Amino acid sequence: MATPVSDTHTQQWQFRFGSQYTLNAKKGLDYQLIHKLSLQKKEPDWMLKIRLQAYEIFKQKKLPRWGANLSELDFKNIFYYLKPHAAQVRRWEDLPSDIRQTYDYLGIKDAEKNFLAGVSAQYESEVLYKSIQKNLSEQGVIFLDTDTALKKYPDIFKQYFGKLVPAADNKFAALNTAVWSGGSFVYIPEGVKVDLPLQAYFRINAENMGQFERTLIIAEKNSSVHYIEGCSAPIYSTASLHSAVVEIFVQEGAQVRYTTIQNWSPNVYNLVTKRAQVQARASMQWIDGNLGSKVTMKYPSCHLVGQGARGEVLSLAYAANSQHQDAGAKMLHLADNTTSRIISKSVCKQGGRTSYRGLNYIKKGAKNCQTKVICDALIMDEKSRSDTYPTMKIDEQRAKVEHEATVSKVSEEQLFYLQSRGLTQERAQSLIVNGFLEPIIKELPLEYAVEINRLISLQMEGSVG
Amino acid sequence: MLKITNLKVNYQKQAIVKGVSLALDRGEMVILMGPNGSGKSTLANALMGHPHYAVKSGRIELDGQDITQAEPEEKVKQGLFLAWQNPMAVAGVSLTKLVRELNLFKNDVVSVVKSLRQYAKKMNFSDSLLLRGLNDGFSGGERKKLEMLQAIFLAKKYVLFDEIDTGLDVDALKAIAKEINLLKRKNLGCLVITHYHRLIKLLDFDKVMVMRQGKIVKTGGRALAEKIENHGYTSI
Repeated sequence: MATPVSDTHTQQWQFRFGSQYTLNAKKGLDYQLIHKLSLQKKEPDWMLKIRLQAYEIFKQKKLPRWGANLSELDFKNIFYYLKPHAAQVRRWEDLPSDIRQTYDYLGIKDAEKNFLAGVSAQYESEVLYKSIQKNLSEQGVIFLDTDTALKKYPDIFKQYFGKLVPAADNKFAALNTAVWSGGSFVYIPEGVKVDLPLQAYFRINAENMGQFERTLIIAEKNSSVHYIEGCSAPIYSTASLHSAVVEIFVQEGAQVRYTTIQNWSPNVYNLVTKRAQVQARASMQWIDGNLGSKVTMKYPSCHLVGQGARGEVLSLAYAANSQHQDAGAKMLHLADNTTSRIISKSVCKQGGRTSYRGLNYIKKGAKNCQTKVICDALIMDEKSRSDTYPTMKIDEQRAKVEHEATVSKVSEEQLFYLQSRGLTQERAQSLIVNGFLEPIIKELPLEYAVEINRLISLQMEGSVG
Repeated sequence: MLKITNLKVNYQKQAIVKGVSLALDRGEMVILMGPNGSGKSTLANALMGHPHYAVKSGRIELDGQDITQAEPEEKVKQGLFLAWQNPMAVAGVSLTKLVRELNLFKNDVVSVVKSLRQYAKKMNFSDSLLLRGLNDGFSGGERKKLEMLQAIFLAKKYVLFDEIDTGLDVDALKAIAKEINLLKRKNLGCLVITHYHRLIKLLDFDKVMVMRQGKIVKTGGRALAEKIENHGYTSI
């Protein structure tokens, strides 16, 4: 097969700043910028107050001493707020040709390509978007960008914003609370079941791919929704720090599924706090795929607070070159009969590093809980590394706890075995990776599964030395 | 013709195959016997192009083409196939998936799967194993049956069977011997490496070759195989 894109990851992603950025914005963060940002957004005073308090906390909090290496992260050298139009000045022609070729290889439509590349801030399918919106609003569903939601539904907003992930939770949650912009706001009324997945990229908004997205999802009693964030196609970003916060409230008997496929360019620190509160008989499923970025630290969590609540995380990580994917999950069992499952699959190659980091906690007095962790790592070569950091904190006797972990290496013998069946070494590699990830990939919506499989074969091509 | 001329192979810097010449015609079946460590498996692996086995000198020709240095997948394309002695487990990559990936049967995956199932049934091989990762959690016998199944579907001109009979029960052994004979009848050249007379006596072979200390030391017919069975390698 022809190799459309060189695998030299760094080359592929050769990072260029649009000069327009430097004209329109200033690096670094101070009170003045937060005031300006809030004013420009015409926010209520209480939000400005929250932002300023969060900024205080951000300044006081130290960087986490565990997890990935963040020592090269320079807070002074980051743009914290770009006016929407500033993000649109980049031209398609300015993108590195390799990225354009990747989009072509993945078969992404022009309109979508422009959106992903940040050339156009809109995914130009307004007709489709409008019909989806009409259908949703008839059911009473609210699906807006978070900024607009703050203006239109301040009461719901105030009730939930920052209640699950307070600014004081960690340094990056504080930063996000101080400078958040964009993200999605989803409200599903009681008993409403949304059939089609809600996809962030149908939501037309200039700040869609913001650095500091804030997403808030409220699923009322017995409702259900599947929300999809990001996409498996590489996202070319000029910002080196992405720090989102996602808060999800899953009320009694409701079901929420949240799918993320993160594929930022390899200059990006992706430090995200994602948390769901799950009430009685409700269920929450996170599907969390991390393919891109330089460093990712992300551990989607479920606080199982109601009897019989269920939480699940399917985590998929891929690290090449000097990438470090530090990903995992947290399950907190705070009520009786709650169940959880974490399945993590990671692949590292060419000096990449994957770490599984997880917490399973059963509170004393939360009876008959069940929690299970399966984490499997695949190491493609000698230069790459994988670690597992599971924490089990079980304070209740009556509990069922299971933990399985495997680390496997792709051996020359395995590759030769498939070669002796007629595959090239590259295709043998991608088939092995594909087979390893299959249990998670088959849970993804079909179009994502197809894209991820293509992306994996793309990464494997030309990579065998 | 698969023609091997004065082949020398090293494994971990040690000379194992020390100058082997043999020729295998289409539709011909040769049994390769020899005591443990005589270099039979090394020969088979080197013929297929295993990276751990270094061909030091000599020549491998397939229907006139020199394939000594060709990549394994290229050799497969030319028509060579190796059924492994200890096949590797590949999780998540089922035979069905492999067949689809190889795209040998164009878009006709449905009928391929159908006939895979028929063959599986003939060999008393559970259907569900066709959907499980190759050799992943398979018993020794199941692995050998899967190798046979792949030989039937993927081998085009010449097949090397490296101890296909180990770990098989009597019925499976019979079924596999029958399939090897069928491949011969379909005009494939078969080189069958084995220690056991119980397989040999079921095969419709043309020649027996005995390898010892890296060299072919004797060639004969059924009588030679029987002599070895009764009196051991020291008798020849």
